[in-house]
Amino acid sequence: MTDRRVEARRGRATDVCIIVEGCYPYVPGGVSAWIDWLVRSQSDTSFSIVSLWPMPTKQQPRYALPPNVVSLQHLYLQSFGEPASKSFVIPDGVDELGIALGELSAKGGSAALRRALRAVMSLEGQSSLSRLFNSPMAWEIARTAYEREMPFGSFLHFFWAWRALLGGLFATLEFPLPDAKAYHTISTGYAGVLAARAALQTGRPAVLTEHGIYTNERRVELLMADWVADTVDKGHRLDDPRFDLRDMWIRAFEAYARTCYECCDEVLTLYEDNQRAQRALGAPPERMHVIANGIDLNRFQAVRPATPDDRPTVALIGRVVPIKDVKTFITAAGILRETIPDLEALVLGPLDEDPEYAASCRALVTELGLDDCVTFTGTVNILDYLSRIHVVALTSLSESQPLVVLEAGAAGIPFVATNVGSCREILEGRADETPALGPGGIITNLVAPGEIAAAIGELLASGDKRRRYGEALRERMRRYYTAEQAASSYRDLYRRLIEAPSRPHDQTAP
Amino acid sequence: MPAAIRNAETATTSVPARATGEAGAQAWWLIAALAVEALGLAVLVRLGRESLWLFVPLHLLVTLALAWNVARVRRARHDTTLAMLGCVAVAAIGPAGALGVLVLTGLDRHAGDRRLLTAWYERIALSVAVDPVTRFCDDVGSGRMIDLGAPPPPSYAAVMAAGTLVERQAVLGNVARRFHPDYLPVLAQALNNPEPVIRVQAAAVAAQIRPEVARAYRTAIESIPQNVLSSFDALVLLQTFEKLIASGLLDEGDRRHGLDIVLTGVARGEAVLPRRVAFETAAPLEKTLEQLLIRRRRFAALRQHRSERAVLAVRPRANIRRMSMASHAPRAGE
Repeated sequence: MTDRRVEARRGRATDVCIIVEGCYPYVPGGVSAWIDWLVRSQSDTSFSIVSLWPMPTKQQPRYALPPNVVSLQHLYLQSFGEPASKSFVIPDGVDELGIALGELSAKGGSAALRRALRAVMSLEGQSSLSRLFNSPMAWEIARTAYEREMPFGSFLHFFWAWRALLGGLFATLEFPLPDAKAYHTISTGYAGVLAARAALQTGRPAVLTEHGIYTNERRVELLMADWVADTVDKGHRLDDPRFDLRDMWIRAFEAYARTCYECCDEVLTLYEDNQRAQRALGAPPERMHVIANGIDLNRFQAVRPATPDDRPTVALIGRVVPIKDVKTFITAAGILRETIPDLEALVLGPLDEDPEYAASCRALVTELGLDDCVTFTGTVNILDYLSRIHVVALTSLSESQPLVVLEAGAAGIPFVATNVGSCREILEGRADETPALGPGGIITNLVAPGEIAAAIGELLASGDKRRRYGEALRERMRRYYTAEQAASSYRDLYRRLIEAPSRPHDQTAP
Repeated sequence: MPAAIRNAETATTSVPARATGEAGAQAWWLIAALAVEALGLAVLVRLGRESLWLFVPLHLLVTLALAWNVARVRRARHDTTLAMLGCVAVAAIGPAGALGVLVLTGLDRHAGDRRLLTAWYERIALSVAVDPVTRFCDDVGSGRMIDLGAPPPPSYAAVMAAGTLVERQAVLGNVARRFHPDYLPVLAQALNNPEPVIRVQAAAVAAQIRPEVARAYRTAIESIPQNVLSSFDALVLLQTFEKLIASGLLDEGDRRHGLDIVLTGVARGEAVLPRRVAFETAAPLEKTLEQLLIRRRRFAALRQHRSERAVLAVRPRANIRRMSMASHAPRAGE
């Protein structure tokens, strides 16, 4: 997993330790791509990476580590291994460890983390994840916790959930921390707990950058998950006080987030809307900042906007997958075609990620008689298409900070986008934008083909409005969304963190 | 002590462990029997033919020991199958019987353990597959049943409009896990909620339940009789369709197809308005149908529908002479 160059450099303190869960360098796109960009954009800064996974991953790295990455370590949260041997002697202090881990997963916060760290340290290396969590002692602690938390529930389900949650926590607390001048986690969760622990134990600053709000993502996943058993029948009530497994999982991730927010020196995100959620989960407002992603504007400077004489063209740029709600785009195109008979609607993006959905989109096009209107191009270089597009549409059900809006904006093409992620902020500007640049597009509701069609029609009908919106968007990109600005913001941040004096800290680092 | 703990304890200390341990003990009994008989036979053969009769008391002794083992197992309330099989096999064919049973035991061991382990898991997981009655009793005794004394659940639409963030998220969780077409207006509300967190969750719910919406739609269509669709059924179906369509989660193609089916059904039917349905009750359905007929430009059907409604509004029990809607199938230009 680690190349020779990295092995050779291991042992040196790095400037920044990046802590990331379930992506870099093994998963392409998204947060992984962002980390790759970040590390490469800070070529004077040395990095160590801690990559968290449930179990050892068999995936091959999708990103070659840049030369300034000194080490890549893996933290496996659920690697419980074999049962402990019969000669294993349960060390003293294990009861306290169980209580402390329980408190950390229930309430969170720096005090609970300190207590848990002391409990881990008291074992003095006598134990490991596999030895402790496969021992009869773990069973007893689980039983005690069960009787305290949800004695009416299914013990079997409780046991496995408890083991997964607290096992992951113990693995995080006993993991040998890389030596670094600052710690940067890309999410809350276990990665956030590790960063919080680093801040407490080393006295060095920690910073969090959240793309999506991890706790909310987990909450959404857990509330909808089939794999979490409902052991209590709450019917349709929302205020049933009986504690169930779903509550336990959600409570744990909220506690981890609280711990991370409390211990991090700065809490960053990509756009203002996310800050509401961070604040609601306990992030201190005075430590919250926005650093938006940026793009390379030079790539789009040469794009010539489509002229009124060109065939009226609207495009959706993105993968043909359900979350992009391509069918709403097609339906909107159908509505628009009634008033703009020569409309061209392009779907620019790969079709192979969800072939079944792509096929159903094609079937819908045929069903609506739009074969001569809607074109699926597959994967293309969008630069080849931008100069013939009058309006770009984004019908997604969920986004964070969609790159496509930035790219179309850099090309001066107005946008119609659903009210997801940072779309409103990009198209209409932040609350504190000075001077106000005006709208760069139109925001619509989700799953609203009529509204989307009307917005696209409005822009297609008025060349002047298109030009004004396009120019405003291009200017906003130039001022606030360049890759150079994002890189510069992180350079300044890292410099501050690296140069900051160490705080008093708990010396007993594992 | 809670039922689950009680069950888990019982299972842990008895079923799999005890059964596995007993199987092991029986194997040792058989090995001992095999060793004693085989060794005895070998020694007697070496001593000469005249000594072979001594094998008979030895064999009886071994058989008696195995019979005593059967009694012991029975007293301990363990499964006696293996002990009895071993005893009979050894009594019948001596060491060859012991060897045969040992081989069979070895072959069966893993399957037996798996069965026991599965049964144990089912038991402590309170699976209905094991014992639905016990499961039900456990649920009642442990307080896992729905709380019938609690106040009724709130209106989800009201919660979505004015509830706390956590309540709204819980509503969306229920919508996802317990899908019903009646939840769709709440989902539509959530998709346009001012709170970004709710919109994101609603979007995830929408993506998850889209196949369910399509399934509900297909089921509704399949429920339409082949020949004649009564007016009341048509109206009820229309209302269901409207809910599904209003969610925005249906494909336009499906939507058109469904509406065509309903309209065709209505056209084939004998009446637009049900005779015995109170006007007030049918009003929302009537409105839906009227809008649909106008959108589809089926004005003849609309005229008949309105005239019947006017008569029934004055005389609810009027016996209207029905005209087949088939005669009002849309003409060119309508």
